[in-house]
Amino acid sequence: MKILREALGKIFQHCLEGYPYECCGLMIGIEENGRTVLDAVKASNVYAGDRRVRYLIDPMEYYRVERGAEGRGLRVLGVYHSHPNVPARPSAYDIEQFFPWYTYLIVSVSDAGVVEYRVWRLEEGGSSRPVEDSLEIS
Amino acid sequence: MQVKIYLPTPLRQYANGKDMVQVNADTVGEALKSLTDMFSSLRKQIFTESGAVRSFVNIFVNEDDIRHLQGQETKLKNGDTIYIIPSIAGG
Repeated sequence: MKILREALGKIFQHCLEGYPYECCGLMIGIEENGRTVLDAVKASNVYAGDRRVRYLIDPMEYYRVERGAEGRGLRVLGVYHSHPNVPARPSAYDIEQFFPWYTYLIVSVSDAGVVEYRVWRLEEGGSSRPVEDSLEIS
Repeated sequence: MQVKIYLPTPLRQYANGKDMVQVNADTVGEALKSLTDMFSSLRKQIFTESGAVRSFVNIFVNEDDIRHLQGQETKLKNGDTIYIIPSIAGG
């Protein structure tokens, strides 16, 4: 997957501002010869419990972002979220919640800043196994 | 009742690229059945083998989650829109 530097910067800023809570949002862009993320849209983490270890996007907020993206000729390509103080690998709960087709960007953050970021998606063919994807910044 | 069903991006590949499908149905369950009869490969994306809606799929009628209504038995009115929305969650 490719991502515009500005979009990645926006994601990092959101994840750092929200620390030590998990932040989340949607990555929007185009799919032509691979995926290119052109913008990131922040979403509220509406999880009712401990937001340091869980996130949840309100379904109707998802809908509004998706329709907004389509109005710009773009589509929702995936989801980003932060992992405060833990590596950017999907947790068991992340994997359970991964939706086929989407790309998931996980940003590990600490009080010192962004530690690492990695992208994942479910293996093709209905598998529930996550595989790591490359991320090219353009 | 004539109702519309909204499909999110990841599911459109199973419905000839459509984002909205119109069906005739009196309940949510009937509407989803019509949808999956039209596009059979959507069935396993939306339902478990026992016919329940998958846990990572949200079904709304207008702005209301059917989990807070009568589930698949929820009655529909003419002009209602059913939204199929992926659950976006993790930890």
